[in-house]
Amino acid sequence: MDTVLTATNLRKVYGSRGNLYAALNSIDLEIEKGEFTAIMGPSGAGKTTLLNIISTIDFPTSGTVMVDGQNISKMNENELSDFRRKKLGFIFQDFNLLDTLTVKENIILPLTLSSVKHTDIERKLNEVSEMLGIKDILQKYPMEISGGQKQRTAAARAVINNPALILADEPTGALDSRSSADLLGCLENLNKTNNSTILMVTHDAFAASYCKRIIFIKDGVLFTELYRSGTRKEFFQKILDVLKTLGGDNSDII
Amino acid sequence: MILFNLAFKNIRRNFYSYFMYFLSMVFSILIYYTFVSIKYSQYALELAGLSTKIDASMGGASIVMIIFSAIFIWYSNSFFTKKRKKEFGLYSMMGVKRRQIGRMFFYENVLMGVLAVIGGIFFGVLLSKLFTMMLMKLMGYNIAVSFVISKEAIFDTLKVFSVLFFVAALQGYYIIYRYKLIDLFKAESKAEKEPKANPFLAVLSVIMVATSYVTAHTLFFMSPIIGMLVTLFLAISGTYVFFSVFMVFLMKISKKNKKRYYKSTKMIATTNLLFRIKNNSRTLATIAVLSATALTAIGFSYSYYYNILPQAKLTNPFSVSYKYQGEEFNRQVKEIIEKNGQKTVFDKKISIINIDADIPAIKNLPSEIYGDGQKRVSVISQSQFNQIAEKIFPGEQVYLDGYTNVIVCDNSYSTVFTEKYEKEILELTNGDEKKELRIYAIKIIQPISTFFSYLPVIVSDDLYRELRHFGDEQNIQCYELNKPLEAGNIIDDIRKILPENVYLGQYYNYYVSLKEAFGVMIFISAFLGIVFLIATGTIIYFKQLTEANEDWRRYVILKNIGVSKKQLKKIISGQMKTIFAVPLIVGLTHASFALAILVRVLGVTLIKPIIMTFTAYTLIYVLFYFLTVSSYTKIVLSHRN
Repeated sequence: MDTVLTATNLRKVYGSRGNLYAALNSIDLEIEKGEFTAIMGPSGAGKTTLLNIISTIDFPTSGTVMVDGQNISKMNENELSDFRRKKLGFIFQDFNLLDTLTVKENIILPLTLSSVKHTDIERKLNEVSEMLGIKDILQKYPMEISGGQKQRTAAARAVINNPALILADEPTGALDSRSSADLLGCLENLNKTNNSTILMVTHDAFAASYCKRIIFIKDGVLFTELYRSGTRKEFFQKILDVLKTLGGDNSDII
Repeated sequence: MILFNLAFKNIRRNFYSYFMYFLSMVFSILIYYTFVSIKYSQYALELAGLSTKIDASMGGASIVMIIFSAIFIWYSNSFFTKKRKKEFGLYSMMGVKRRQIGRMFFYENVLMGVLAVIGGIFFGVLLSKLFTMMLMKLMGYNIAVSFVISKEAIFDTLKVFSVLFFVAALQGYYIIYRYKLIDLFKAESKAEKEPKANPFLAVLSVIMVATSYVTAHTLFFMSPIIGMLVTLFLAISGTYVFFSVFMVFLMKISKKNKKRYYKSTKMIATTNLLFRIKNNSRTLATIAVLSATALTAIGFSYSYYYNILPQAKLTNPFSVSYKYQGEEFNRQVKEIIEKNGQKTVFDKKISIINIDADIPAIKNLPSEIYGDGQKRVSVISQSQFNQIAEKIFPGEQVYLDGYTNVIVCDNSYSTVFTEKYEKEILELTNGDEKKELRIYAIKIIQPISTFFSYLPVIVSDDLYRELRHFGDEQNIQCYELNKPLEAGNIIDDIRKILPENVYLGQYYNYYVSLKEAFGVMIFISAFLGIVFLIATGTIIYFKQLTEANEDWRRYVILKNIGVSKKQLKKIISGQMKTIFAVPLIVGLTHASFALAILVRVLGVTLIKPIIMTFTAYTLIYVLFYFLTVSSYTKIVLSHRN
C-alpha cells in the first residue's frame, strides 16, 4: 500500500527565549492511502497545530512532512499554494464557503483555479454532488442552505480535485447531531467508494467512531492508537475508554 | 475626561481609515482658506496693481467649497459611524450608557474637526502666498505678493468649518442615539443576496445616456434651456441606472460564458465585483457625474485660457490700427513704437469700400446682428487681403476663381447657430445700380477691425476697381508689432496723440482682460476640480478598505484552498481596476461630449488642452488606484486564519 503522509520527528515550539512551550514534541506519523483517520486529544494537546502543519498553513520548528512523496517543508510559498490546490482538500469547522458564490461555484472553485476544461468541471461536479447528496441545491447561495448542507458542500469542494489527502478540522463542530451523522456517513462513503484518504481532527467520540483508525495525542506527543474492529458501537465504547485514561476535557466526551 | 481619552485613542486606532478622510478634509480647508484669503486681500492686491475685481469670484468659489465640504463631511461621517456600529454595541453591552457613547463619538468628531481645521489653516497660511502668486501669474500680472496672514480669512475658515464639523458631530451623536442595541450588533452581519438586474432597465440606461449625447448636440442648439435640462436629466439618471443595473447585468451575462467564466480566478473576481458594484453603485455613479462636471469645468476654462489670443484677435486682428491720418501722423506712431523698443512686422495702409448689400437667402446679414444694424459690407481686394493673411493669418491666402466669386469673412459664423449662406447670392446696391455676386466660401476670420468695417468681403482686384464707385473707399493704417503682448505703453502713447474721435483698433487690452477673467476662472476650476478629485478618490479608497476589513475572511479561505499570493493580488487589483476605471471612463466620456459642444460653440479646436486636462485627472486617479490596491492587499494578507 502507498504511504500518503509521513511525518518524522515533528516539533513545534511557540514563544520566545525563556518562555518556550512545545505544542508538538517529536511526533512521528504515517498514513496509508485509503485510510480514514481521526486525531483526538484534549484541548491544548496539539491536534490543530499538527493539522495546520500538515495543511502547510503552519510550519514545524523541526522535522519533515512528506505528502504523496513530496517534502512540503522544502517548498516556497508559490509551490505550497500549488501543492495545496492540487494535493490537499480541506473541510473546516466553520465551512469556509464563499458567500458570493453559489454552491456549485464553491464546489468547482479548486478546478477553475487550476484552469480545468469546463466540460470536465461539469462532469466532476455531477459525480461529487451526487455522492454527497447536494444535487438539488447547486444553484443556491450558502446563506440559503442549512449547516449540514454547507458542510457537505465544503466536503464536495474538498474532494472534487481528487486530492491525495483530505484534511478535516472539527468538521462536525458546528453541526447538530443529525447533520453530523449525515456528514460522517458521507465521509465514510467517500472513503469506501472513492478510496479517499481522510485525516480528521475531532474531539467528538461519536464523530471519531466513523473512522478506521484513531490517533490520540496528549501534550504534544503520541499517546496511543486505536484501529476499528467490530461494530461502530463497540468502537465508540473503546474510544470512550481511551479518552477516560487520557483525562483532560471530560465534558467533551459525550 | 475618560471619554475624551477614549475618543483620542479611537482616532489613533482607526487612523488608517480616517487618514485619507482627514487628509482630504485638510486639503479642502486649505483650498477654502486660499479662496477666502484672496477674497480678503483684494484691497492689498489692488494697491499692488491689480485692476480686476476678483473678490466676487473667490466668494462664489468659497461657497461651492462649503457646499461640497458639507456633503463630503456628512457622507464620510455617516459612513464611519455605521461602520463602527458594532463597536458601539459592544460598549453598550459593557454597560456604557448610550449618552456616554454618543458623547465619546461627539468628542471624536470634534477632535478630528479641530485637527483638520488647524492643519488646513496652517497649510493655507503657509501656501497662500504661493497660490496668490500662481493666480497673478495666470491672470498675466507680474506683481509682487507679500506674505500675509489674513486674520479675516482665518476667522472665516474657522467659523465655517466649526459649524460644519459641529453639525457632523451632532449627526454622529444622533445616529448612535437612534439605534437599538440589537441593530448595533447586526451592523456588519447583514447577509448579501445576489443582486438582480432587469435587462430592460439595463438597456434603457444605455439608451438614456446615448440619447443625452444626441440631445446635447441637437436639442441644445434649438432651445438651449430645455436642451440642457433634458440632457442633464437623461445623462445623470442614465448614469445612476447604468451603475446600479447595467454593470450588474453585464457581469451576469459574463457569467453565462462558462468557458471563460470557469477560467482561473475569473469566477471569484466576477462574483466579488457583482456584489461590490451593487453596493457601491450610487457612490460610483456620483463619482462619475462629479468627475464629468469637474473635467468639463477645468477643460472649458483651460481651453478658453489656451485660446485667449485667437479670441482677442477675432474682432481686432492688428496690434495697432486706425483710420489713415496722413503720413506725418504715421511717422509719429512709428517713433512711439521704436521709442518703446519694438519693431513693426506689418505696416500697411489697407483700403476697403463700404457698400450697401444684402444676402436674400438669409434674414439678416451677420454684421447686422453683431454690428451696428446696417445692411452693408466692406469689400477688400484679394491682393490686399493676401498681404494681411501672409503675416497675420498664415495659410489663409485666397485665389479667387472667376470674376463674380467672392469670399465672406464672418468672425461669428458657426456651423450650428447661424444661418448658412455659403454658395448664396450677395447683392451689392448703389442707388438703382445692382450687382449680383456668388459667395464662394466663408472664412471665420476678421481681416480688419470690426470698428472700421462691416461684413468683410474679399473680391478679385479687377472687381475691386470696378466697385470703387459703389461706395466710399476708406484707408485703414494697420501695424503688427514684434512683441504684441507688450503693447500696453505703445497703445497708451498713441492714444495721446490720436484725435479724440478717432478709434484705435488694438487687441492687447481685450487680450489682457480675457486673460484676467479666465485666469481667475482656471484658478478656481482647477482647485475645485482637484478637491472633487481628491474627495471622490478618498471615498472610493475608504469604502474599499472597509470592504477589505469585512471581506478578508474570503481571501483567507482562498489562500487556504491553495490560491497563491500572486493570484490573490491579481484578483484584488482586477477588482479595483473595474471599481476605479468605470466611473473614470464614464466621467471622461460625459465630459468629452459636453466639451464637444463647447468646441462647436466656440469654433476652436481644444484637443490639446482637453487631452492635457484628461491626462492629469487620470494620472491622479491612477495614483489612488495603486494606493488602494496596496492598502487592500496589505489588509487582506495580514490575516492568517
